[in-house]
Amino acid sequence: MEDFEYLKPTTTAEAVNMLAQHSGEARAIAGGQSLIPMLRARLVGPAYLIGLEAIPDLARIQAVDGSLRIGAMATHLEVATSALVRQRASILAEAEGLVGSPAVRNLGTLGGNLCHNEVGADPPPPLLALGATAVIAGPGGDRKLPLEQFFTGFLETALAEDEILAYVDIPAQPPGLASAYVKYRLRAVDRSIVGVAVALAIEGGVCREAKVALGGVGPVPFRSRGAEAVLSGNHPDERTIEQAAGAAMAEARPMSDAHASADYRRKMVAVFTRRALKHALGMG
Amino acid sequence: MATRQQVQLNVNGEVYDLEVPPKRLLLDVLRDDLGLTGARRGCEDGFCGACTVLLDGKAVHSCSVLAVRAAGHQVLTIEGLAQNGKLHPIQEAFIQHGAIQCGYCTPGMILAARALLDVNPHPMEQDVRWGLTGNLCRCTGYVKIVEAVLAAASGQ
Ligand SMILES: Cc1cc2nc3c(=O)[nH]c(=O)nc-3n(C[C@H](O)[C@H](O)[C@H](O)COP(=O)(O)OP(=O)(O)OC[C@H]3O[C@@H](n4cnc5c(N)ncnc54)[C@H](O)[C@@H]3O)c2cc1C
Ligand code: FES
Ligand code: FES
Repeated sequence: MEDFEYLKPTTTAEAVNMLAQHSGEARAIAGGQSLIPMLRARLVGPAYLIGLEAIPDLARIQAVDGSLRIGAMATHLEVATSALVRQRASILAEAEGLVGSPAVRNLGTLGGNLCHNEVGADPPPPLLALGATAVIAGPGGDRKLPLEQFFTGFLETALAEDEILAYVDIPAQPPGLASAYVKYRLRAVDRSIVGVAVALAIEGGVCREAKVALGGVGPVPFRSRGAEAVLSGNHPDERTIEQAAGAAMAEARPMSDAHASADYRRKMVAVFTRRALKHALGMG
Repeated sequence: MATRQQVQLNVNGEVYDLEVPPKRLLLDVLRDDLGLTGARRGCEDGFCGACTVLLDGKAVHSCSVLAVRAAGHQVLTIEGLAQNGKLHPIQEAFIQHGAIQCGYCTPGMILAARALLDVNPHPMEQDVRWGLTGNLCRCTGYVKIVEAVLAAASGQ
C-alpha cells in the first residue's frame, strides 16, 4: 500500500474543501470495506484519504418533507435495521440485510456501496425501484441527481473529484405498494449474480405504475423499461408476469465472470424477475 | 507529508499510545506492535473472517480497518475474552464440543459468536449459521461450531 495522509473533517463542507484542495490526489473513505482492499492491491494510491466518519450529519436516517433521507455514512446494518427504512422502504432494508457478512455490514456504508458501483451490489436495485435521488455535495453547494443517472459505467459514477455523495432521498410511496427484492447468489457473502427489485402501484387489481430494477446483469444497475411497459396499465396475471420477465431478460447486458457466465445470468434474469413479481403480488 | 500519526487504542481494556503510519492496518498493529496474534491473517480481503475482532462490540475484519480509524473505540481480541483466568463460556463450549481442529479460524469464530449472542442471546440454529457467514473454517468443522455456539447460548 502507498503511504497517504489521513484527514478527518467534521463537516461536509470541510470534506469537500479538502477534496478540492488536493484534487486528483485525494479520495473519500467511508467504511473502507471496498477501498482498503483496493489500496492494498495498489489499484488506487491517493496521497490523502478523507475519512468521513466524524461528520454526524452524513450518518443520519431521517424523514424530510415527506421523503426518507438516508445519509451516505449510514452503515448497511443501520439501514437494514432502521424502523423508518423498514416502514417506508422495506425492500431496501431487506437488500441491505443481504450485503456480504455481518462484519461487512457493520462498517460498510450505503454511500460507499453506491460510490463504488460494483456489479452485483444489492442496494441499487431497490433504490432505483423506489425512485431514489442522490444528493451530492460539491464546492458550489448541493445538487440532486436521479439515482439512475448516478451510475455512469463499470465502477464509475457521476461524482466529480471534489464531490461527495451526501444523502439518498427516497420519495413517499403510493399506498398499496407491492414490492419485493430477490437476490440470487451461490454463497451467502457474494454479491448478486442477479438482483431484482420490483415496486408496483396496484389499484383495483390493475398495475397503475411499475418499476423493475436489475443489478448484476450489466455494467451498471438499471431499470427495465420493457418490463415496466408490459406491466403498466395491466392486470398482473401469470401471462403478464411471464411477458415482463422476458422483457427484462431481453434488456440485460451481463458479463461473464467466475460466478456465472453471461448466458446463465441472462436466463436467470427471467427466472428471478418472475419470482420477484410473484413475491410482491403474494402469488408465491 | 506526515508519515506517522499518533493514535490511542483501547485494546482489551488497556490503553496504548502508538505512533503509526496512517496506512497501517489494525490487524498489523494488533499482531506486530502489540503481540496479540489471536487475530489471524487469512485472505486479507474481507472474505475469511480469520482476522475478526470486535470494535465497540461489533464484529469487524481487522484486515480491512485502518488503525487510525479504530482510535478512540474499544477493541476486543480473543486475548481479552477470558476473565480472571477463566475462559468465556463460548470458549469452553468450543473445547467441550470439539469445535476446534487446527484452530486457525477459532478466534474469529468465537468473537463473531460473541457479537451474535450479545444481540440475540437465544438464537435458533439458522441464526447461528447466518451470524457466522463471514467466518470460514478450512477444516470444515461447521457442525461442531454451530453446536458449540448453541450450547453456550443455552448455558450448557
Ligand atoms: C467480503 C465482502 C462481501 C461483500 N458482499 C457484498 C454484497 O453481497 N452485496 C453488496 O452490495 N456489496 C457487498 N460488498 C461491498 C460492500 O457493500 C461495501 O461495504 C461497499 O461496497 C463499500 O462501502 P464502504 O463504506 O466500505 O466504502 P469504502 O470502501 O470506504 O469506499 C468505496 C468507494 O466509494 C468512495 N466513497 C465512499 N463514500 C463516499 C462518499 N460519501 N462520497 C464520495 N465517495 C465515496 C470511496 O472513495 C471508494 O472509492 C462486499 C464487500 C466485502 C468486503
Ligand atoms: S484476513 Fe481479514 S477477512 Fe480474511
Ligand atoms: S479449525 Fe482449522 S480452520 Fe477452522
